[in-house]
Order: sequence, then C-alpha cells, then structure tokens
Amino acid sequence: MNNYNSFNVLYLYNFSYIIDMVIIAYHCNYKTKLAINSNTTRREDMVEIKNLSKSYNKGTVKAVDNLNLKIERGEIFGFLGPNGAGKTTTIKMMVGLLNPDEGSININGYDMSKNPLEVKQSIGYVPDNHDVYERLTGIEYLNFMADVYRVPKEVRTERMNYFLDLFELRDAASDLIKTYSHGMKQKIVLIGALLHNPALWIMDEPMVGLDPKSSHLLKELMRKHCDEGNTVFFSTHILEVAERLCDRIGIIHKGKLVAIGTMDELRKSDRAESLEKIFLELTEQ
Amino acid sequence: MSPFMSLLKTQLNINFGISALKYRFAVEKKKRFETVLMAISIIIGGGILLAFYSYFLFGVYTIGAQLNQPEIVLVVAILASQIFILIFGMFYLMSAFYFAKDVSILVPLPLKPYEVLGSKFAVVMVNEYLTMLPIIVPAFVIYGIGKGAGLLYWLKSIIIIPFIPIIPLTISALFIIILMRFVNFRKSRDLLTVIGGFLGMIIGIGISVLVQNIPEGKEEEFLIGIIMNRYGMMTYIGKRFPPSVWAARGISGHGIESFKYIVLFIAVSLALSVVLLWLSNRIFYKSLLAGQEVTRKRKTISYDVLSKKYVKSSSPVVSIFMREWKLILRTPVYLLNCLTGIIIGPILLIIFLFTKNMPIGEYASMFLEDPDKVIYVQLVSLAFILYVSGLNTAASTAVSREGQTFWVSKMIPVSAEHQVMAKFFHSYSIACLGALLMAIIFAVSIMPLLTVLPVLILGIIGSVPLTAVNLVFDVMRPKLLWHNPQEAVKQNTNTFFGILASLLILALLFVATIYMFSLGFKNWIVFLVLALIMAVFGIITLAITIAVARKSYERIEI
Repeated sequence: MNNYNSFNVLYLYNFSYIIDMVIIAYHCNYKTKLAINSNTTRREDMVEIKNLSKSYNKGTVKAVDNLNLKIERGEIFGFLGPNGAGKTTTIKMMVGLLNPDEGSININGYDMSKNPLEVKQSIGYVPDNHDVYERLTGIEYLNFMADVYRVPKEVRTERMNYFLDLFELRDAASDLIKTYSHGMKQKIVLIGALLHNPALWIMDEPMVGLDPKSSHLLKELMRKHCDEGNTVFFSTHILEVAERLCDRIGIIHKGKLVAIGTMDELRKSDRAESLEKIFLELTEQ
Repeated sequence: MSPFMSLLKTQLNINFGISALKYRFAVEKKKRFETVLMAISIIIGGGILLAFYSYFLFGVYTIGAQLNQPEIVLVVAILASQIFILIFGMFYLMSAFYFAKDVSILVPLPLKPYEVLGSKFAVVMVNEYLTMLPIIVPAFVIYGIGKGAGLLYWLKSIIIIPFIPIIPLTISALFIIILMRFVNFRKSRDLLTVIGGFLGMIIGIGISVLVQNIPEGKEEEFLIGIIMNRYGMMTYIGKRFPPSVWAARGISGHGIESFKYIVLFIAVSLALSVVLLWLSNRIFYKSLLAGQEVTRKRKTISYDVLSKKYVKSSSPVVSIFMREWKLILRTPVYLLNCLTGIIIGPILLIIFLFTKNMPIGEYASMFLEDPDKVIYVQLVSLAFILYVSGLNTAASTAVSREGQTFWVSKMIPVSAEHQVMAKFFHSYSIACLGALLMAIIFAVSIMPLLTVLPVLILGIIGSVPLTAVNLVFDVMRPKLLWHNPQEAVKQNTNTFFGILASLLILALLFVATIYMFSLGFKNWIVFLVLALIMAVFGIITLAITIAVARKSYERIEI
C-alpha cells in the first residue's frame, strides 16, 4: 500500500488531477479503492466462476456451457482444449470483453458484474492476438498502460527498465509498434500487462510467437509470481508446457469442463500416462 | 482455370468485397439494410452529380458546334478522364503494387512477376473504368445524339471506350516501377498518403474556385472565351496529350482517316501494355523486394535516459486524451479527415473572404462601418465557426477509430465515463483550435480584435453541444470491425448522423436569434441569451453522452 500513498502525493501535484476532479463530479468513486496490487492478504479463492454460460448466434452455438471453476491463490492454472472449445470465450468473459449470458465471475474477491473496475485492476491480461496501437511507440504504449493502471512514476520506471531488459526490447522501445515483429508485439503487450504487478495474470496462448529464450523467461516469471502468492491462468496448446509448469490443469471441450485437477489426479482418473493421451481421450467424442 | 485467371478472379473478389457482400446478405441479415441504404444514397448522389455534369457537357457541345468543332466535347471528356487516371492512377498503382499486404502471399507462389503485376494492374483498371465511365459516356451520348450519328459511330465508341484508361495507366505504371527501382518510398508511405490527400483537396478546392469565378448568367460567353483564346483547341490539347485527340478524331472522323486514328490509338495502348508486362517481368520483383528490406537503426535508450526523458506520468484521462492526439496525428487518414475544424474550416474561410467574385470581405467592411450592423457580421462569423465545429469527424468516429484495439479500452480499469470524457476533451480541443484559427483570420482580415472576441467565446461555448452530439452517436454504435482506418472514418454512418444533429442545433440557434431580433433585444442580450442556450445545450448533451457511455461500453463485446 506504500506505493499507493506516494502515488497519491504525486498525483495531487499533477495538473491532470484538476481535470479528473471535474469528471469525478459525474461519476466514479472507485479511485480510493484501487491499489497497486500483489501480495494481497485476502483469503478467498483468486478466481471463482459459477454456472458460467455464453452462446453465440442467438443461442444456437453454446460456446461455454455451465462452467464452474475455482482457482486458488498461488497456483498456475493451465486451461486446455481443442480449437473452438470455449477457452478464449471463457477468458474474454473473465476480463470483461464479453458479457456472460448466465453465471457469475468472482476475481480477487470482487464480483465482475458489480465491481468491474476493481476486477480489472487485479488482472493483467495478454490476448491471443496483438491488436495494439501501432502508431504509438513501445515506450508510449507502456506509459499509457502504466497511467491507466495508475502505476506511480518510480515504480513504472523500475519495472519498465526491468522488463525491457529482460525481454530485450530496450533498443526498440522508442520505435513505433507498427515496425515490430509478431514476437516483439507479443512482448510489449506482455510488459504492458505486467507493469502494475497484478495479482492475477490471465494469458491467452502467451507462448505463441515468443522465441525460446523469452518463452523460458516467461515461464520462470510465472513461477516466481505464483510463489509470491499470486495466480496465473493461461490457455495453451503446448501440452508439455502445461504438464511441466501447471499446478492444476482444466480441460474444456465443447464449452464444458471435462477434467480438472493436478497432473497426478488426471492420470489417476484417466489411467493414462501422458497429458497428451489424457487430452486426446477426453476430447475425442 | 489458368493461374493468372484464378489470381485475377480472387483479386477482383477482394477488391469489390464480393464474398463479404454475399456473406452480409446471407448471414448478417441485420446489416442488409445498411448496404441497401448506402447503395440508394450513392445512386441518388451520383445521379444528381451526373445530371449537373451532363448539363455542363451539353454547354460545351453547343459552343463547340457554334465554333464548328463539336468534337471538343469528346476531347474534353476523354482528356479529363485520362488526366484524372494519370494522376490518381499513380497513387492507386503505388499502393496496389508496393504497399498491398498480399505481396508476402503472392511472391512465394509459382507465378511470373508479370502475372502478379498484370492482375493487380487489371484490378486498378476495373476501378478506373468505374470512375471513368460516368465522365466519358455522357459526352459520347451528347455528341452522338447531337450529331445524329449512325451505327458506325456507336460501334466505334464501344471499341474505343475500353482502351481509354490503358495509355495513361500504363504510363503511370511504367513511371512507378522504374521510380521504385531506384527510390524506396516504403518508408515515406504515410507522407505519400498525406500528399495524395492534400492533392485531392487542392484539386477539389481549385475546381470550386474555378466554378465560382465563372460570372453568373454568362457561363456560355466564359466557355467561348476559353475556347476562342485557345485557337484550335484540339491542336492545343493534342500537343499536350495526343492520345485524347487520336481517340476523339477516331470516333468523330470519317472514312480511312478515322480508321487510322483508331488503329493508332489501340496499337499504342497495346504496345505500352506489352512494354509494361515485359519490363515488369524484369524489374518488378527486384523493386518490390528491395522495398521489403527496410533497415532500421534501433536506438538504445539507457536506464537514465529512459527514466528521465521517456517515462512520464499522467492521470488516465490525460493519458487517453494524449493517446487520441498521437494516433490522429500519426495516421494519415485520420489527420486528413478528423482535423476538419483546423484544416478545411480556415481554408474555406480564406477562399470565401478573398475570392474576387465573392466580395464577402467587402460586404463585411460595409456592415462594420455601421455600429448597429456589426452584430450581423459577428453572427454570420459565429455561424461559420459553429458550422465547421459541427463537422467534427474526430468526435463522430472517436470510438470507431479504436477498431480491434478496443479490447484495451474494455479491459483497463478506467470507467467508460472517464474514457468518453477524454475523447470529448480531445474532439473539443480540435473544435476550439479551429475556432481560434478562424477567429485569427477574421481579426486579421475584416474585424477588429474586440469585435471578434465575443464571436470566439460564443464559438467555444457552442462547440460543447456540437462536439457532444457528434460523439454520442459513435459512443452508441461504434463501427469497430474494419481492416483499413479509411473504413472507420469514411464509411461510418455516425459522421452523417453527427452532422445532421449539428445542423438541427444550428437551426434552433438561428430561430432563437431571429426571434430575439424580432423582440428588439439589445445586442449584448442577444449574445448573452445565445451563450446561455448553448451552455444549457452543452450540459444536456454532455450528460446524455456520459450516460450513454456506461451502458454502451458494457454492451459492446469484442
């Protein structure tokens, strides 16, 4: 919480504070509730999804069908499923990009339908496509993300420098994002999502497009983040990564959760040795 | 189907969005209405334009006939379309050949360079036919009917017309592929777009100035004057661009001479096409691939420099406001279309004030000499500023411009109200800058500073409701699905609704002003009441926009 206090002091001296005060007259009293997250002491599960459903094409295509899921703090959760199984739809509902037809999503103790801004402040989201502001420079994009997540200047300076070095983007930071390769865009979106040190990372296919070194670094970061009591939720098609990295795995097929548990639990219930075999058997029907 | 034909078919399909249109009609039934509405408005708008143009051509024909040169109408039409194709074709071809995204798909395919270039060239040509036919056909019809031409004339026309764009377009293509062999414009793509946009704007304004300069009621004499001054106009034009004359003589002439011109015209067209295909086989891929190799000097930013120079902290609203400005200034299409208040407004104003045949400036000075009439000049100036402010495309495309990056706005912990307020401030700043620029022009040209000041203040107050009404439509139903930024601003119905709502507000203000004059209000009371009305409008429209924002952002899925 110290970060937040110093942030407020800085903020008061900022001209923009005046503009914000005018707007606050209209609405919004959430500012005081927001804090730079992480290391929270809340006791609840990090994610609690109840009876979540979502259909497309006027209900004819059921993308997510009565999904129930709990994810504890401190765990890396791998979300697997064939193409079109409902992974991205679930993730998009968790971050507020899609509205559920039914059910509830509770993240970091906040209900998505009642406190969406608190939920969003708790999340760092990396989508599977990288549609970002191509005509901003990398550093401008990062500053923008730090601004909207209200990351104090000292903290953002420290973290930007750290991540730009880690993902070897320092040389490209002042270039427009439109000049970046696919992997570089992936990295800048990733850094943007992690700047505010969110308690929950939600990542849709985060390894796609990353070079082996960056992919390795990301996996290490995920582990470290969870060891500090935070949570990572990610979808992937790379079963080896899920098998080695995840504390628990959920497999979704045709919108329904068909299996969930640790690798050992999955092996026992399916009597198969590798995750690949378990996955193929569960998603064959 | 041969690979070339298959390629051509696919390129045409993509160019005209045939599959997308079929899909829209078969699956997205809700959007049928929009497509049909757009088609109807294009037909009506195009029809009106065509009627005016045909009327003009008829004038040219009549004068030509008086001078015993009736074929001038053909030369004018052919020349106009060919010059148009020569200039604009260059930009189309440049983007089709060198900036198209499908290059990376096509180059690795087992196709010859001339097949790739040929298919792209053909697509541009089909587009050119669509632009050219409305220019050419009325002239051919007017001449044919006017002269009571026989079957041979119509037959020759049908043969000649398809060849008309070939010569200018091949010349453009040859120029471009040779130029691109030596100069890499890839880096300057944005600059080229801006130059192209300004060129279009200047030509548009130039034509309107030219039309304004034609003395009213003396159009015929004016045309005769031009044609007489250029004695033997056909020869004159022929010296500049002979193919237009060959085509015209080929059609309007008789016997062997006419036949000679037709053969000459077609033979030159075909020869140039062969040269283009031959040359493209030799250098097209070289210049294309040379363009792909963009080297970039990456600049390393040290820890200290990054911390001191680059890391900046602002509130979310200010940060979104700055993001909007950066994206508009760095995207050529947005720059040209969204800064109407700053660019088009002042340019139009200068034209109005300084065009010889529209002595607005003189009228204004006359009114300004009489203290009782100063207010009329002030109100007209205010109306102009507010009118330009009402054409605020930045506001009426504010959310649409985000396109597929809208996921960021949905995901960040900043309320929809804050985000839309930032967008309002951004569009409003454009309106205010425009008002300021126009006020400066007024102050420099016709009015003393103190007379302009109330106009500027009222303009700034009045821009609040005008910006808000433009914004609210786009907040309500933004167009987020687009592949090219052009679609977000140029094919966005919200701009139309925004302008309509702005005109409504202006009409209400006009009625209120007239009413106040009829009641004999003093000048300062008129200003005060106008300011009050606009302020109230501003508060109401802004409150509605903010209220709509929350619901709309919640509803939109991406």
